[in-house]
Amino acid sequence: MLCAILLYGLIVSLVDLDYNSVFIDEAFQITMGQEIIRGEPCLGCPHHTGSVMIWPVLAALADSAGGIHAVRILTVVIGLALTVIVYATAAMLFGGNLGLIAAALFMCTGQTLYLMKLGTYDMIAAFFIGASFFMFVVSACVKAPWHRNLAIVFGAAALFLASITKYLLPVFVPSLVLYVLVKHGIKRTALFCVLPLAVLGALYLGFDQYAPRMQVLGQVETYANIKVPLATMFEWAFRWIALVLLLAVFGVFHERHGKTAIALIALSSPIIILHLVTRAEQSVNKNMIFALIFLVPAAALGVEHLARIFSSGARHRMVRGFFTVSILVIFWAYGLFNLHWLERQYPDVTPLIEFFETKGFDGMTVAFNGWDGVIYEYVLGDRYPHARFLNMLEIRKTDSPRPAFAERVDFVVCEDLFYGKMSPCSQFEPYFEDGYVLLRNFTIEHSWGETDAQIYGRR
Amino acid sequence: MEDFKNLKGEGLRRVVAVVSIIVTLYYLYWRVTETFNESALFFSWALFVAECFGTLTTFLFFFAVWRPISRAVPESLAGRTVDVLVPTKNEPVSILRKTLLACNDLKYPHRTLLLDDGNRSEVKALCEELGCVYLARESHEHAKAGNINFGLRHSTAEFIAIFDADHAPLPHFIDRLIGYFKDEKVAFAQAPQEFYNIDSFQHRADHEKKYVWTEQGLFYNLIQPGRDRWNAAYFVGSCTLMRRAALDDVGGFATSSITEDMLTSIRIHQKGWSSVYHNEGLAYGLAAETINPFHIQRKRWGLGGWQVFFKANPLFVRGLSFPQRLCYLGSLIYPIEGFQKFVFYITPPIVLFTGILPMNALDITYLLHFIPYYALSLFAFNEMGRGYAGYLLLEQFSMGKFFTYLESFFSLFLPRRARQFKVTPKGRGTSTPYPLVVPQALVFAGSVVAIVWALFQLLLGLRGDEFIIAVNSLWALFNSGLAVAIILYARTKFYQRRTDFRIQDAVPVFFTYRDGGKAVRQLAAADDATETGMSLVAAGPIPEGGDLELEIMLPRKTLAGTGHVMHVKTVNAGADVIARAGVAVTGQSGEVDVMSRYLHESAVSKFLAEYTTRYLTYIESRMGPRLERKARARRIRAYLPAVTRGKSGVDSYGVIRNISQSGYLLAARENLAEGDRVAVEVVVGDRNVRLPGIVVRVVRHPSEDFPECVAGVVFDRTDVGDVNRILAIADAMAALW
Repeated sequence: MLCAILLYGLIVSLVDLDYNSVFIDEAFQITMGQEIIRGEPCLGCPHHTGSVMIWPVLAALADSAGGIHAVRILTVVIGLALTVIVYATAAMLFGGNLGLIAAALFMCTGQTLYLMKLGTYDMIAAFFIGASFFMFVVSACVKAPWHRNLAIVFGAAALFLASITKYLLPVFVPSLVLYVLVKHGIKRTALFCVLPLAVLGALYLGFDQYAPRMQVLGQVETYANIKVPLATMFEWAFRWIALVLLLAVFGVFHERHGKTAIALIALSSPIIILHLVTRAEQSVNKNMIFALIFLVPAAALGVEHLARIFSSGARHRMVRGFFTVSILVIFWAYGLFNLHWLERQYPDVTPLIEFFETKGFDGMTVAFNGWDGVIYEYVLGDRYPHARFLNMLEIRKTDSPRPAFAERVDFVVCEDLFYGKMSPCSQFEPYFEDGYVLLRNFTIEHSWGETDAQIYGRR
Repeated sequence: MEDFKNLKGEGLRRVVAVVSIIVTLYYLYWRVTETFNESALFFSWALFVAECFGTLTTFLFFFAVWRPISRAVPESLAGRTVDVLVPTKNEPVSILRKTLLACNDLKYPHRTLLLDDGNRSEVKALCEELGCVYLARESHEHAKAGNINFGLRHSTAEFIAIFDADHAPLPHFIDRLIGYFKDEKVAFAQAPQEFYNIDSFQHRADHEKKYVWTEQGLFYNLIQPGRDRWNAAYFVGSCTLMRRAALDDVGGFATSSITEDMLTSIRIHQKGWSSVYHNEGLAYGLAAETINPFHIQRKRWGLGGWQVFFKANPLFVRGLSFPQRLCYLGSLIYPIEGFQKFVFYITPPIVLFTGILPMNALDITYLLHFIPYYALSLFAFNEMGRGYAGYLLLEQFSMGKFFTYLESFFSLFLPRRARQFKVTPKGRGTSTPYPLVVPQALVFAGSVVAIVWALFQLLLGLRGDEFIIAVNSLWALFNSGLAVAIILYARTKFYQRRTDFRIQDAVPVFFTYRDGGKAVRQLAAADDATETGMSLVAAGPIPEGGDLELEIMLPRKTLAGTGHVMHVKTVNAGADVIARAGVAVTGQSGEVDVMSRYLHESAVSKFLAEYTTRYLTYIESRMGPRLERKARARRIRAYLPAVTRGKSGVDSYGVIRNISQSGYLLAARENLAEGDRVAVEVVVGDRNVRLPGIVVRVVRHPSEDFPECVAGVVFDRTDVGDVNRILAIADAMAALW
């Protein structure tokens, strides 16, 4: 049954790997990895919100083997492995059947399926968090002290890896350490969990070239400035976990494991609370997968409990099976809908890429009001090795009395796709309103509406 | 009888109820001020009114059961005159016979009057045979109430005991209740209606856990004791002892409603009389066997409720106290539940089919209001239900009754003839028409089709309200689950092989059959029995299709009869053959009557005493003492016929009901005491296997005519006999059930 669940995830992921053009983070991370492997200066690395030595390098290696498809297949494999971990965790906590339900729920969730086919560091970070929790659960189940200690150390190591893979994830450290503390007491927690975490963290901060420093803190500052109202944040955060959370709440009423469901909901909460407190909307849709790792086993309890409620009094085993499957079917349809929504959340810039494929030339300079030049650099790099795709802020003349570019710019791309909203084209219009003519206007459809992009060319 | 005074956490559960009321009122305020969908106002109002009705019934329930009381049995009054009235119309003679035998066995001096609205000669003959007074009317106006009033005209007794035709009282019924009438203000003392056919449509039994839930359990075990606190316990038409003067004061039984009991109660309370609820099973009857009589009964109650609501609305009639008004209101508005549930059942399909919501948004904000309110309401209801509530089972029955109540409302508009009193059919063999579950089938089908429709639309991208679809799909699944449960349970009751409910028991029986020309006599155990049949379990062969001579060894009496083996099932335990046979029994009339009395006065009590009807609520389980369960050896259910060599040297017979490595449970005829050494031998074929032991626990069944004791026996370690052989036989026996 687990194989069937994994097969489903594999098929749904692989069937449409080209669902969208390359996402800005995918291009950004692959490019960084390539620079590191080549030993070139990596300008983007200090800004990356995770260790550049883990995912970017892996992604670059995969990219060299098969381009963006290979990168996405790599995240598919990691996603499948994470599903196995979720299964194993739930099975260890509640038994095999509930483990299967948890795996099915996880595999049917829109975010899981989406992040499986998105070649960014989110899935591998989720894998490390899942592995960490699994090891901590194992540590509470095994009897031999030596095995316990080893499992805690492995769990701490995985937690450390998760934390450096994505700098957001240390938010889970207190809650997971508390879990270990509750299960094993202060001495064992201090020796085998806190100490390894501290040592590894100190080594990373002290010796890694791209450990989080001022640049990353600067990013955090930028995030803090883009706040949304609490009610909106609430809606956005819960949109991605609402159904799982609802099922998990029913799990609280499970006859045997209700208390564990409460603990799991609590363990899932740091990332939700972080978003609510900071009201930073960046990546809220993706970040909820970290909550799902904990919520899904609790939701499996909810499914079983609901199926028991729905079939109460019926003596036929088939009846309970019918209701369990029915709940999973509802969840599956809900997840598939969310997957399709997420696939179209970010803009498909294929028409713009195609424009440059036909109208562009090697050595051209393209100026953007956003920061998505890296997408074009990644996709068109082979065709136009000497082309440059730059943000307008990087090439404007600062010492000129009137607005002007510091160098020759062949094309100007005005868009509100990636960060374009933060620096709208209107503020750059004086730079190009005289010498440029509108070549093409693009309307790009998303799951949430439409955006526009214009390409201007030199007169 | 539950002692409510000693229940744990009474104060805390009342706090929970108050908090629940406050949260509910806030939720309803928020609903009405912020959530109505302006573009679907009718839909919004319908759901809101349904929610308000639920709140009202919950509040009335909390009020009624706020502080239930338990009454101690008062000292009996001697020298009073009592007439026992048994109204009947079309109940089978076999059922009437049991009831009249039980009435005749009432210890308190009395007369038994059978009021036959069926004017049947065979019933008259039965009364003559049993020495009861037979009364029949020329005309049958006002149904049961008119029939009882007719009986009253032929009675001069100070007190009237009333029993439905299928409700047989225990011998001490009047003795237990008559003491309450020392208070001259007491008009009636009501006992609960207990039902022994726990496989009926309205029971849900878990035989493993020995737990049985009955749909009327909440009413009889809690609501009536709660109402008793407010002097609002009401007469339920049977199992009642009434003061004649009170009845005369209100002009006899009320005839303007087909639920004459409630209307009569209201009138009695209006006149300032008081009532008593005595929460002890003093009479046993038959619950509605299948959905068909259940439907007829509830439709009658529903219609009667509406009639009383319009004709003697307790909110407006004179003479009632405020608590009495609220208690009666709670008992009268329940048929409206049909409309409420109808709204709840059709709301999710409407949302799933049309996308129209009965509120302006179904989002996390809504759930953050709804979930605490709903969870707290359920918790409070469960706590105030004191372990009798069973919310899900009540919801199931609401599903089973919603259309019945709708019918009862619309039947108000039918001509008078079409809404006359209909007797609830009792006994087996009542057929169940499939159309009765059509409303539930429609709820199921409608819900499932709506879910499928909405999911397809979602997957095809035709709709984007995925969370609304998911939540309403879960709600629709819940409703369809209730419908499935009712349909499946009704379906299992469509087919009844047996004509009577067999009462589990353990009676030693000698059976004799002819093997060639030779008579073989063997001891067996009857594991269940009725007047006309029993299951025999024997560690030896039973001839299939053969005729048997039976000696049924009841406590103090041995009955003779003949039996015909209908079917046999056998298993082997090593070299031993274990057989279980279904036997149709025929006996002489007197013998059958004794069997009937034994079953009623002893077997039913023992059988029901094994089952608990109450579960521990969350607060009780947290506040009560933690039970340290002693490790016990695995007990194997068994029915092993045994001979006990008594101290006096006289053999007596019994049945071993379960056995483990450490001991066994013996249903014995001999009067055993703790510490006794017993020389027990299990009869296996033509030989006996010794199982000597020491009695460590004794439970006596203090029936005057059928005394019995059940003894826990541990093996005598110095002489364990052939335990392993018996354990192997008991293990093999499990395959026979």
